[in-house]
Amino acid sequence: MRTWRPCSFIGWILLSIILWFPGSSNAQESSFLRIFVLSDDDGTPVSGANILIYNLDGQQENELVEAGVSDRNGFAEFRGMRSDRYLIKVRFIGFETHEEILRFQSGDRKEVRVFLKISVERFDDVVVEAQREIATGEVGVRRVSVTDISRIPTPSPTGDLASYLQTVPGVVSVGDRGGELFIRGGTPDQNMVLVDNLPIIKPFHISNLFSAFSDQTVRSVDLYAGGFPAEYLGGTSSVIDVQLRPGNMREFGGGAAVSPVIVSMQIEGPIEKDRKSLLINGRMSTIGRFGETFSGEEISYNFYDIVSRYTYQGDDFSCNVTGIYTSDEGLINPNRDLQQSWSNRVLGSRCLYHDLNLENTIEFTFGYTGYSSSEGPENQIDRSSKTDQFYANVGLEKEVLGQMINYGFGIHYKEYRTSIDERFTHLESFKLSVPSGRFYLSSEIDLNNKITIEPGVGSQISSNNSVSLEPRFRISYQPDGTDKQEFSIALGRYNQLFSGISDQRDAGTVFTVLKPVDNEEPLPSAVHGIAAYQQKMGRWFTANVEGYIKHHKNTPIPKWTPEARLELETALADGLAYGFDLRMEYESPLFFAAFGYGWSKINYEASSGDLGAWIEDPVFEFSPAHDQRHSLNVMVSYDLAGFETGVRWNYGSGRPYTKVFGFDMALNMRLQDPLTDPGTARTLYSEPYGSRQPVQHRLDVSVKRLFRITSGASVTAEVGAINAYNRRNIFFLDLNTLERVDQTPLLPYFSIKTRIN
Amino acid sequence: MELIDEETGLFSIYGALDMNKEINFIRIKDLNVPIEKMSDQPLDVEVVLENLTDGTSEVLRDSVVIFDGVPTHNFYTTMEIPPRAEFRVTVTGEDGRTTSAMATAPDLADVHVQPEKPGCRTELEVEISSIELGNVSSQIALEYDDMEWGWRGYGREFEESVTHIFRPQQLLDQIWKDWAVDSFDCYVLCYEDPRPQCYQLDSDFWRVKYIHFGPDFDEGDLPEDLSIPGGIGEFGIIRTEVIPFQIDSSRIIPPRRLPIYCPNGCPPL
Repeated sequence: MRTWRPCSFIGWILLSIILWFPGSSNAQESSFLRIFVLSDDDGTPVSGANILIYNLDGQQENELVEAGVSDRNGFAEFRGMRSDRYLIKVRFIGFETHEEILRFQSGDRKEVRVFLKISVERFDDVVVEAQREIATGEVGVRRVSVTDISRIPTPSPTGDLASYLQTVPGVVSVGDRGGELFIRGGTPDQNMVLVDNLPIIKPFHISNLFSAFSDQTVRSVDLYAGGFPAEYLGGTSSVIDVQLRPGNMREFGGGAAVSPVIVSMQIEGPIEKDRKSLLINGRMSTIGRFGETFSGEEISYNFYDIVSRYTYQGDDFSCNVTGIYTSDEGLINPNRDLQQSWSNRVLGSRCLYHDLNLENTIEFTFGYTGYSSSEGPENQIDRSSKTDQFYANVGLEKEVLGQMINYGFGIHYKEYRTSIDERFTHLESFKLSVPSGRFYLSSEIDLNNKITIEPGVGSQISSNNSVSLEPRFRISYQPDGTDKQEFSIALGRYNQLFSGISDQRDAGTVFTVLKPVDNEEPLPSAVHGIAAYQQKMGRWFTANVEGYIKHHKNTPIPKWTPEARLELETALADGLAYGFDLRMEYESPLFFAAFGYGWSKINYEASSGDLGAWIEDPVFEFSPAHDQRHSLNVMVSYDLAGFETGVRWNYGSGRPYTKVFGFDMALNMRLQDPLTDPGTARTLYSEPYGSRQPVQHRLDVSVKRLFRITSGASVTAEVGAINAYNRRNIFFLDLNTLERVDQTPLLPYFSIKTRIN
Repeated sequence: MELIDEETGLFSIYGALDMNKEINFIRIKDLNVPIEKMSDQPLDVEVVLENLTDGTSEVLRDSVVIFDGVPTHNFYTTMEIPPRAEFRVTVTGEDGRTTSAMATAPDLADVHVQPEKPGCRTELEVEISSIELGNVSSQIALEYDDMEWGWRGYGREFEESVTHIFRPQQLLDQIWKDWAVDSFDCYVLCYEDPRPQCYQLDSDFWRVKYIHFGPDFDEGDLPEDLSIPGGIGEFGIIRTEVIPFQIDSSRIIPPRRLPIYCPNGCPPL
């Protein structure tokens, strides 16, 4: 697969350019309708709205001829409109249904902006109707709304994506610090996080309860735990695709929130009504200052983030400019002088060009993403790793033989700089620049009204001779032609052009060296297979069961030298992860209950010769630290008399860990004498991951109430507790300090949020 | 939740029994006790050394040596160790579980120095033979300025003999260069020639010192595998010996021209 010819990079780029011709007005006979669904309240796009198109002049009276769902831009397109009159119905929960009659002539191209008015029976939070943007089913996908995020009790006035993700079966966090998420067997560097289609490396804060994405800035999140389609290239495990919300297009507003853990401020408003808006949100932790008062334990870390979004909704194109800065610094083990720090920098734009003269829309994304991380004692940096990347991506569509083809390409330039000391003995400090390109092609094909398939293929190529070919396939089958019951399958091959190297033996550090794959090294890759069944019962109940298998290849893991030492050498391992998730949700306007159970098994396999001593068999198999066999999440939220109560209980079976073989005072008997030489004090590891930690469980509760001061001003007060029954959950055993490090004890909190608009 | 794997790692054993010593020590460490919690009270273990060749055995007694506040337990034995004999040391904990290690004694080596009482510029040959079982680390030692100076020879693994051929003054120059050249500035090096001559040594008797290691010693620094059942460590038998030989230093020979050890050449007079 990786045979390289000198001209292949150029040929690959040429192929991409040849395919990129937007198909301007050379097909005048085709007619289409483009609809932008916007909120009449704040002028921002409404995604997930149902759009129904009835032909008023057809053979049957009011025949439903088209149906669709608005995307993240509030956009939907319908093609092949005949010379008839059409009734357009746009519906979304929380809004009044919009109806409009349009008359089409042959070749007409129309663009309609629909402003949905908020219904009288308005809910404070928009409840997203479970509609699909992905025609090939929800397999592998978890569509996360702002409401989902807000329900999870967090010790802050606002909900956070990081807290939500840890309620999803298959998502494992090895503790409550470090900002590392393992998704269905994949390691953190194998997750790809996108915000408005711009990559961000590690947006999760050092407290695992928080990320750069609060419910104040997020519109929706698509979590692909695997089996993601061809347009997502660059991650081998999962995709977290975050859409930020635009600022209010009609009114200025803002807010502030205070809690013992975090404070935040937000401003937003129109720069030009219904055209341009700005949203800026900043948060800063205060847990380092006040955490000990509330939890009784020293908390030695701090973080902050700034998220901003400029939005432009023009006649011919819509654009947003997104800027994010995050910073984290502190200790994972408060008793060990090893500071971790990292920061993210993102600045980029995503534009949708939808000029009616164009046969098809074009989406551009371009920007810059930077990431820095370091580790060392206080006021000292022993190791650092930085990446800077610039990128430009184009997403296109084209009708070929009556079938819409989605395709796109991108050019990326990434620079890696790493300065390392003795911990990473097989690595030297390096600075590498790696240009790369990517291309994808996919299409959604309705075989009939019950079966939809989405074949696709992606490819990545980098200047250091790495070429990938990544076929993808998704299929859904709806026995009754509706999404009440659905079987779906996703398959695919995935590659990364880089790998993350970290000392997984030591949970007290999260420092990771990001390194491009060398010429002679195999690319990290994975093959995913997922099968899902979803059943909806009534209006409020949904059940989903999903089985998956992921086979990761060429994942770097630390060598297991028996002696606990600072150096880290790595070997390549193959990992097999498989399991199933069961999810049941009951969601009504006032009551929500969810039950999620996940069973998984993760098995790594590596050549013992590569791993070092202590292991006798030629191939060593083990379950890594993120192999959590059972996880259970129960979430209940209830609105009663204006009080919104949230309860979350989480249970996780014990994860593997490595015991200490012994504490030795070793002598070199060739040179040393027991009577005159003290020897070398050393701690020895036992068999890697040979034991399991005890089970963990935790109850988080919150009660909040919104008080309306005036029609445009409100105060929300919240009280709650994390780890309400003060369960002593272990985080890890620190071999350096020989002590047990626990997760957060009982953390009661009180928070206030004000909002003006 | 247990930090320590108490099932597999019991004790470490470090000992090199010297065939020519009347008392030998073996360090025993309970692997489950962190360094800072080690006690100076006798270990609650039984340590037995067995000669598997003739069937004799001895229960060893503990002696505590404290290094910077850290007590170490060094069990001692007075058992005679014949050549080629096989020994086993067994540590039995209070729960009856054991850690043990085996070692084989090397053969008796022969040392020949020829010619007898060589002159300072005479080529002489030192041969250490009958060493095929195990390997040898050897040293030629002399005394100058109330200190012992030495040149370390290389060990040979599982060969029949080791031979060192050298001239005493040449070896003396080499030792001086290795150890002392940096102690002198370039003026002294260039114009005063601080090299010792044979007749200036404290004694005309030089020594061949060698350690004959049994076959159980690894080449590496510290053991990193479970070579000892139930623990870790290094246990073996050695034979150390010192063979003196005399140099004839009665003839005072003017030194040869001093090699220039100054990187920038000699300074002006």
